Amino acid sequence: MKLSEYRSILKQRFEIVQASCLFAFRKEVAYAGNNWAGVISATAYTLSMLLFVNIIFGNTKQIAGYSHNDMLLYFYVAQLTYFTNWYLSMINIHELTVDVNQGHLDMVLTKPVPALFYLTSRNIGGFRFFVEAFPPTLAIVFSINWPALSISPTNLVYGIFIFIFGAISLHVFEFLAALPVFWLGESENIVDLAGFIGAGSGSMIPLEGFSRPLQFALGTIIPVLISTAFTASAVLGKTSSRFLFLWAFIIALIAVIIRKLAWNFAIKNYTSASS
Amino acid sequence: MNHPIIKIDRLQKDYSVKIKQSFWKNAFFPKYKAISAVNDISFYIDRGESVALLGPNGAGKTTTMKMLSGLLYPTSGKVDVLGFFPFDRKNEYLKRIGLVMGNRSGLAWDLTPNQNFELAKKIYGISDHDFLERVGRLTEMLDVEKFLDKQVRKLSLGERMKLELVASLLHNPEILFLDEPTIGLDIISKQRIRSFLRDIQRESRITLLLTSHDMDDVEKVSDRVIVINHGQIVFDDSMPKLLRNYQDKKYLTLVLTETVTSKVIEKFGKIVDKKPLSYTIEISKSGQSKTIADIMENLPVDDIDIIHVPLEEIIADMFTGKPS
Repeated sequence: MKLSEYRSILKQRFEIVQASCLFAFRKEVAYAGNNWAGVISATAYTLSMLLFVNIIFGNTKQIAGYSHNDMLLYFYVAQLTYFTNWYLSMINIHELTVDVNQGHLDMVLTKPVPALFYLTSRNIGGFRFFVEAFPPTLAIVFSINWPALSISPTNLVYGIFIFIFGAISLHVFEFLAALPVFWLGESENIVDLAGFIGAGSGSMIPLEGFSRPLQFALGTIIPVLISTAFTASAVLGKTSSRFLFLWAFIIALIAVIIRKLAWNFAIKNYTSASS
Repeated sequence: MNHPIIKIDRLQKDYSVKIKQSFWKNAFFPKYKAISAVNDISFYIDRGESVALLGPNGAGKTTTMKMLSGLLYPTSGKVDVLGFFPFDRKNEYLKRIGLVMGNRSGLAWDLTPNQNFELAKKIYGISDHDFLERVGRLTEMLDVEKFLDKQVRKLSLGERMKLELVASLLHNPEILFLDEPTIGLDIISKQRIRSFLRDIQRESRITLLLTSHDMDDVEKVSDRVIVINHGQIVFDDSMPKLLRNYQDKKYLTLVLTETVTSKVIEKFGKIVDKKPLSYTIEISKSGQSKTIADIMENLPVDDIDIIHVPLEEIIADMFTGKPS
């Protein structure tokens, strides 16, 4: 493929994302009252988690090598994982399962857009991400004693990339959980289970709290530790950030390839709901 | 000379369906068998034709349409639409077709039609000038300008369907696939949509492929009829040819002033419908004058009405294998 063709593909995808963001924004603001409930629920959850972390560390100095302050940073990354995963990935995946189940996918597949890209980027909840994620994460930011953390710029940069690769891997894990809808007709609960394992329990325990075999399994086969546990560990310098970066990169690359292959297989077996 | 833009050759689509077994066997060791939704069908459609695909529920017409629009992968056979294999879903192909499904919505529920159209404008790369001209012209033809800024979820089914049609035509497609476009609509909306489809087909030479259970849709919109039953084509020709076989038949509806037994009515023709003080009978066109004269002489007739055999019945005869 020529460079100009790549450029035109990228341009088209950028335009799709741009149009989809505007489209999603209009949908988000169509029901303003609903957004307040989201802000309140996210804030309440964050405050209860902060309280929980304070209570746990009232009786102990360290958990899995993490001090109270380290744990707050870990919790901060976990919250970023949750919000990123929900607003960039899960909303689209849930919509995909509904569309396949009810046959609305027909109307998407006949649009001249790269279907997989469009389906996984059409509902980027930018507005809700901002209004719902901002107040609670701000509360965590102010709880962390930043000068007391030893974060090197190199580890921070590696950490940002690991977080992105982790978000990609987690998205693919949840996306694969959605695909049985093409055969079973419904997979909402499977997606919820994947979401719970990924952005939920996958963000509860630091990397160093897992045994080696579990670190391997949850960092490769079920890649739910990367975006939070790997990132926090790399940023805090508890494990080699370069090693974790390479690990996260390889897994994200494999995940993207698997996503494409699995999608092609699923779409070939699409039977479309009766009309 | 016409060139076919839709070419189907020995097309087949099989689905796997579960074989009924005991509960436990079904849960853990399900068995499947293949059933053919479309079975070895072939036809060509020329540019600018308006074709109806007819058949009873489950005949395979929607499956055929879905294979043509690139939604389903055929089990075997060849499909060529505008020089493309539809399932590849190339952008160049998708930009040249449109799809409207009566029981699916292509418009986002929470937004207004205008906001939906703007997304379509981006996706299809429609210029500002063309976009404004087409939205203006199409909404005027369907008389839906006033609904452009109303949330889609607040529109009636008829209004929504008309706006779905506008959305499907914004990019000026060469082929429009219509799957039950008037399902559930009131008679006024149906008529409006039918005449709209006829008008745009004549104006822009768009090729229409329609499935519908409403024979009025077919009569008003299509020139050619393909009848599918059990996945196979049982008739493929023009509408007049379909009707020609039934040209010698007429239906006569009699409204009587007093009750008359069926036995008496049967002397004049086969009873096809019976209501209190009203009968519809089948008569031959050639003997029509004599039959009417006999009826007027022998029965207490208040009113009389002569109609063609409805298309529904012609198609139903085909499905049941009755001779015409």
